[in-house]
Amino acid sequence: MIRCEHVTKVFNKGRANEVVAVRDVSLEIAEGKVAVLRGPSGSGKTTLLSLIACVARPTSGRVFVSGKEVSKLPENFLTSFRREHVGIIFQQFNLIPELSVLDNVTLPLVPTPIPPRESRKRALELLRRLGMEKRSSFKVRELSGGEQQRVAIARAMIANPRIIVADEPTAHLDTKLAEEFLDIMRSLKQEGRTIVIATHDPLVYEHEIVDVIFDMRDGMLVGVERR
Amino acid sequence: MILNFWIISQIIGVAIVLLLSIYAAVQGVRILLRWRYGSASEEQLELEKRTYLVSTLMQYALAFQMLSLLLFVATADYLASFIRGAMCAFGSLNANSYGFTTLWVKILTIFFYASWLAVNYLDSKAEDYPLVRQKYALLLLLLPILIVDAYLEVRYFAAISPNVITSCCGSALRSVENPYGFVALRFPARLAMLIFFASYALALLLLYAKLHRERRSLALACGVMSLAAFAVSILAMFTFLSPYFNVVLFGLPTQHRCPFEVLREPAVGYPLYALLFAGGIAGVLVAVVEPLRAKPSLRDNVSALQRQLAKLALIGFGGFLAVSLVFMLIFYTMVGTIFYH
Amino acid sequence: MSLEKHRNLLDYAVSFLLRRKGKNFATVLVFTLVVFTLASVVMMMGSLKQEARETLSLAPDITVQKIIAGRQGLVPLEYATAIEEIRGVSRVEPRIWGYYYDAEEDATYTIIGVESLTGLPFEVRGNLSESAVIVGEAIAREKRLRIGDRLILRDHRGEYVKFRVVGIFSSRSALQSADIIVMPRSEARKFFGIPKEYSNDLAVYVANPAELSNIAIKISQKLPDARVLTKQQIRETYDAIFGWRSGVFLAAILGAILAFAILVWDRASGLTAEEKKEIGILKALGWSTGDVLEMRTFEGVVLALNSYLAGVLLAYLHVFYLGAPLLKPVLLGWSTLYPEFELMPAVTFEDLILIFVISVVPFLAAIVVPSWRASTIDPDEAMRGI
Repeated sequence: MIRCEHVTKVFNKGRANEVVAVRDVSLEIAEGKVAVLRGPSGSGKTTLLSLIACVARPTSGRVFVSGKEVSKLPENFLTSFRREHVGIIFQQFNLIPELSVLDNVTLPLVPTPIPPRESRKRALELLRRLGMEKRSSFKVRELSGGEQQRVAIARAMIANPRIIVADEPTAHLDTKLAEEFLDIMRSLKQEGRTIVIATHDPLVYEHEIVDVIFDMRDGMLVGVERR
Repeated sequence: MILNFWIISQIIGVAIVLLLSIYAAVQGVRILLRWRYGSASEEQLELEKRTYLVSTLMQYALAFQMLSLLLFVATADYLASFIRGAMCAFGSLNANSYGFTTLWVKILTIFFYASWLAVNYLDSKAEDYPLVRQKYALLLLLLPILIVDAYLEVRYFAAISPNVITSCCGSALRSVENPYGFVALRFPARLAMLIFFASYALALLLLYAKLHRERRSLALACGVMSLAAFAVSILAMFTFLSPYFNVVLFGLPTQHRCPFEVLREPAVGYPLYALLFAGGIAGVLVAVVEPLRAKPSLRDNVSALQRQLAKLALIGFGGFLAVSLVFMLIFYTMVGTIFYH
Repeated sequence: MSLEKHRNLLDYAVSFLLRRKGKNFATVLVFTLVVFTLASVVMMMGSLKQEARETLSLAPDITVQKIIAGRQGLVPLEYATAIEEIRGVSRVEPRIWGYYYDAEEDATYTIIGVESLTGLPFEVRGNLSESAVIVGEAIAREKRLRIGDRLILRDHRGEYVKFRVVGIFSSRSALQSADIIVMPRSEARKFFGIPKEYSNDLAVYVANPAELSNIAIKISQKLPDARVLTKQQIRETYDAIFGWRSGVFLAAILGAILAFAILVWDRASGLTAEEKKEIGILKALGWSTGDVLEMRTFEGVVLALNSYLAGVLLAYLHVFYLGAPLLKPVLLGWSTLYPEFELMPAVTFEDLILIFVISVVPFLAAIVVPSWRASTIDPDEAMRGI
């Protein structure tokens, strides 16, 4: 379960370039549901997503993830919490091009006591599930966009998180690949995972797996649509 | 004053340690003054990031200070050939009143650094930064000791003159005027031996008990006895213990009670002292972290750390004792008796 | 506390370094060069000091030479009698010795004349009878001499003199024994053509070391044209040479180190966009500031240790196998004292620490703050695609 209470995020506070990216947002996402943050670019959905994903802390308000208040955690606890509970799929995939597919997938496990052999095994399993096991030793730059996204998904899944967060996942995909992505999300939902997607792509927010849509505009929550 | 490569390098080392520590302390003061736990302001985020910087600086400073201690003894050994009457590090350190004082202060700083890092380690294990204030206040306490260390060292090197005759281990340890010789002279070797073994028995016993029991008094006793065993070991090296090494390794006469001689065989000397320092520092830290148990978020971490420290102290002291006994045994087979005095 | 995590981070640090070979190569090269220079100086000084120490331990308490017109001349034997009269002098020994140039081998030997084989600064075995010599190991090797062989040398008149090799000796210090030929004093005297009532110099031994300088003063008062060298003076001369020469050199080196540290600082603080992006990604993936900082520290340590090892190894080869060709002209002002010698390998654990403290420590200290700064990149930067 994810809950935000009066969350505000301000960048460059007190300076001339002060920006209020998220303003007084309260929302709740039940476990096992698929939620969409919908809004035009600049509406604050990526920032809200980063607060939910424990990547950043709010300037004020409280964020609870899986029953724990994360808004006051020191950075090192916030990171280890994120590593264990949240998998993130970035808009630009954020893969490291010179590393192999396998090494990219195991990246989140490097600062953990898990030995390389074990994390490789896990990564290969995930890649197999996504039909990518034959690509495991390829360098990322040799892959197509759709393949890169699968690598990013595998990486988000490596620590077996209960929550998956995706930022504009279909922005760089054609319709067929976007549908494949949503199929993968469907199977993750069936495993009982909570999924939060920030998007303005109708293909995504009109999809049948979506349970709730939060409409964002100018950093504020302007509407909720439950299905 | 003799200005040479070794002294200059030693001063560079000390300057770097001091620089890192001062920088850490400045950052520490900044954190101390502006820390607002739970605030999500950008300043607080910035300060949290700075805590990493301070920890890293302090880890470096500790590592470098240990090297600096090694190099200090090595430099003293090197200087021995330029100081009349000095044959090894003992003579050089004895050349003026700053030598041994610097050595003791240096050892003290290492205990302080290790304590700070233990507190810092525990603080980073708790989600609510329970020790931020204590830890950065402690940092400010360390600074004066470091400055004293650097000051003494510079004074020591400045006061060294090739024209002043010093007395070295052989003669100094038997002369009355010399404070260290005084210890050796007035302190009967057999009594020193008895105290040595008794303190080790007690320290090892307490540390072993600490592995299984959690009592405030036990933890404090571990610290006190570890410090005692550490000090007694150093005293022992000045009185009865070093000849076993010096005779077995170099065939020196038994009157040669020099604690530094063993370093001329680096494969034996450095591990030997490393074990002793590991034992002493880890044992003392068992007591240092005990009061932190008062913070609820730290209790379990304190216990876990104490167990690790007690284990390390057991290995250190046990190792030092074992190596010493081995050399006593070899000495026995060579000389026919343990009691050469 | 688990080591596995640190191992993983170390592995990643190595991968991080290896993926930026080009960028890191220059740093490793400069660093290795700095270590190499420092280590060469330290090793050479250590070796020379070892030589000096051994030479000193064998030198007589006082050496007396005679100065004629500002140059060293032969010492009349009555000087020895005069010195013996001074209270506190236990023994005076007139010494006959000199250099011999062997054109065949293009080498210079030292010939020492002795009364008996005891009391020599090195262990010599054999029986010194007339026209017998004992040679140092290096001469024996060069001239392929074995015990019982003949050795022919040209004396001061240019005539060939036959000697029989009765022994070969070696000592730890190549400088002292390699090029030495020991022969009976009378033979040496004849060979060099030194008149009976003269010797090269006088070795004076003193009963009580505390009186050394007093006796030295008395000798120079009694014999105004004598140059009196005490052990202590020789030691101080050595020290002055070591101290001054190495001091000058050190200053130059420290400048280089400083320049290097600044270079490092500059490079480390200026991360490339691609490095920044990678760190941002790592942070977003659940690496804490501490993890990134540790990884970056490992990077620095790996880089430093490799350069350190390479530099030390190269310096060892340079000094002890090649004879320090790059340093000798700078550091060896006293090379005229010893025409030719090999540096004896003498590297101690302490030397290695010394080199470490003046190369690796400043480097690591210089990269702390830049490494930290790099590790504080906000993870949401990666999220926002910056």
